[in-house]
Amino acid sequence: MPRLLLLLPQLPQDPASGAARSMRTIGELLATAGWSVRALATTASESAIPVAARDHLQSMGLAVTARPPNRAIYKHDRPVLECTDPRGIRYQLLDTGILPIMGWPAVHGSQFNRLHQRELADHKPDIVFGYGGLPGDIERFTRACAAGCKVVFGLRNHGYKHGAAFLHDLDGVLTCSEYLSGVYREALGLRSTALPSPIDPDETIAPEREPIFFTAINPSVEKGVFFLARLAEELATRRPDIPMLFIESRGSGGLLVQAGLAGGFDLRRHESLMFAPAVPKPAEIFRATRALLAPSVWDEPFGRVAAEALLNGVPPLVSDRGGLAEAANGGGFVLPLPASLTVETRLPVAAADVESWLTTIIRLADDHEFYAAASARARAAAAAYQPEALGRRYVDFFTCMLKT
Amino acid sequence: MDATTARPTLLSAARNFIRKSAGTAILAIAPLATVSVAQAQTTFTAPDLNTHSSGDVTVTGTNFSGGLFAASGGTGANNIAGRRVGTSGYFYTESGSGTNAYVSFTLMNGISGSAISPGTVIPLAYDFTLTKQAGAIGNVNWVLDVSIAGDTTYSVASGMLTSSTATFTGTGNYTTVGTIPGDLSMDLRFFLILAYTTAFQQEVAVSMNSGNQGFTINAAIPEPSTYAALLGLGALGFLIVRRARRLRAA
Repeated sequence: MPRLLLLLPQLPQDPASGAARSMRTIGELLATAGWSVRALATTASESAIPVAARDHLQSMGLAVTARPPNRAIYKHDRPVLECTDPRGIRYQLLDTGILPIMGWPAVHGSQFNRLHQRELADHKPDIVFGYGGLPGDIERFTRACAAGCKVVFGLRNHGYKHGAAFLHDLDGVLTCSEYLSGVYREALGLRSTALPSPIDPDETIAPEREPIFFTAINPSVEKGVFFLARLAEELATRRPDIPMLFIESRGSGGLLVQAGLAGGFDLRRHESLMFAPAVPKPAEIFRATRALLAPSVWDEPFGRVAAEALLNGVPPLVSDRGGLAEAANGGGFVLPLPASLTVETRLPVAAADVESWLTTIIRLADDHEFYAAASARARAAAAAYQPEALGRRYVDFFTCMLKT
Repeated sequence: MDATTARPTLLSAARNFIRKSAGTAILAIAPLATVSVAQAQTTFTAPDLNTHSSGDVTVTGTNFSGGLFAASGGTGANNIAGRRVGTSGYFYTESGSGTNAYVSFTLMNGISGSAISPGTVIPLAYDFTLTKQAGAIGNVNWVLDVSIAGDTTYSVASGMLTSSTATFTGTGNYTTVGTIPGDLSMDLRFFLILAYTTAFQQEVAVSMNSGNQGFTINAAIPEPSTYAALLGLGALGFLIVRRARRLRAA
């Protein structure tokens, strides 16, 4: 039975990190396929609001125990939380307390290194799979190599483009899209393998669906709030019978209104425009979503939300930037944004710039046959994200790594 | 289906869905009309605390006790919401063997809402009390830095605690270098760094009265007329004191 160690500097169940959750889900896919998977990580979170790790894990149905530190020898050691998930993955999580991801290595890095060394000695993983570019992270990858493990790096964002020589020395680099692989090939000459992020169907697929709203998630600057403001204004003016829903996250309903006001119009006068606070599971959003609007301005490494929409049979309308078109996998509508729209833009785009989006939305609202065909195409495209299909690809990749 | 039959359907379906799901904690949908413009301004999330120490005397976060507080203020001309944050907790040294302690505590405030343009001046104010146990601790030097990670850092003020306790107040500015996105990806941090020498385990307390002390983001700058009023009060005080002294002398 091949052995894999998932090595993360943060909570693998971090609700604020899609990357952490993707890495965990990859571990789960391998465990389901019969691999022996263990995880060494911490309780640090990217969330702006502190996450009580123990409560969070218990709310996920995991029975957590805390191993007390041996302060007789190491005076400043912290407890280690331990739990085993239903797939048999054993988690060891260094409780870093209130320290953030960037803060804990200076204080508790030596304890984490000791746990890492012990894990290498006891579990003897064939593969160490992790991410992180701080000196401590790189040192742990080097130690794993020295211990005879293959080291695979999960590359899931743009953060390593400006110098990450250590990536060349690792046995494999796994990205979440061909787009991101291309970015790093161009920037660093880095060879990598692209596999779409795995998605947990239990959290994502709505058991029942009422296709009502044209939904945009997280109306923030990088997700296109200055485009969405104009789109909402035009749609609500021309077709006040078509409801739009904005799900708050980092971007808020207030930010959307402010974006409109910057352009001289007040979106609050339209009855068809609605908003809702963030929800813990994407399935809740897709329950009442007719089509997804994702006019991201920045270059999304993958565009997970488009894949989540496909799994629900929801056609995504995505911008032609970053990895969104790839994530839509031919099951959505790839539409242009004006070239002048950047993350520096602070005014809504012109009405003419939203025309192609508007036309598509109105047709998806009015033409039931067109909508049914689009929804069927979305479901077909979602086949690539089904756990069975994707799980096989991940198992094949890691099995190949064993042989290299 | 033609447009005329479809038109009333989706919006009424939306209203039905909202009615149906009300109170079920699925999606709490509300009309955009209920959004306050104030939500679109730049605001700060509740502060998070981080501690760090170096030197021979180790001070860890576990030895922090007390709570954090955050009080909201009005919004200034720069469209940034005012906020006063702080802690009523304290630190104490854990080891008795060291002679040098460098302790910092960091209050991190996530920036959300509207982005902040380059060159925006954010007025800051500080008001905190330092207390040390008498006897075994020398003078406590302190430095207050303010940083927006990814933008820049300013050293706002510094000073020294020479008596057993003292309150330090003052103001400063943070001028943004680049655009600060209001998407919680960056935060404004207050670093209060303490450096001192101690012979054995002793306490140094950083404390604030949550009613009026703390670190203030976008502190209100008094109008010229307010300065005039303050000067007037000062002059009045001076006259009262001088009169009292004269009376005592007489």
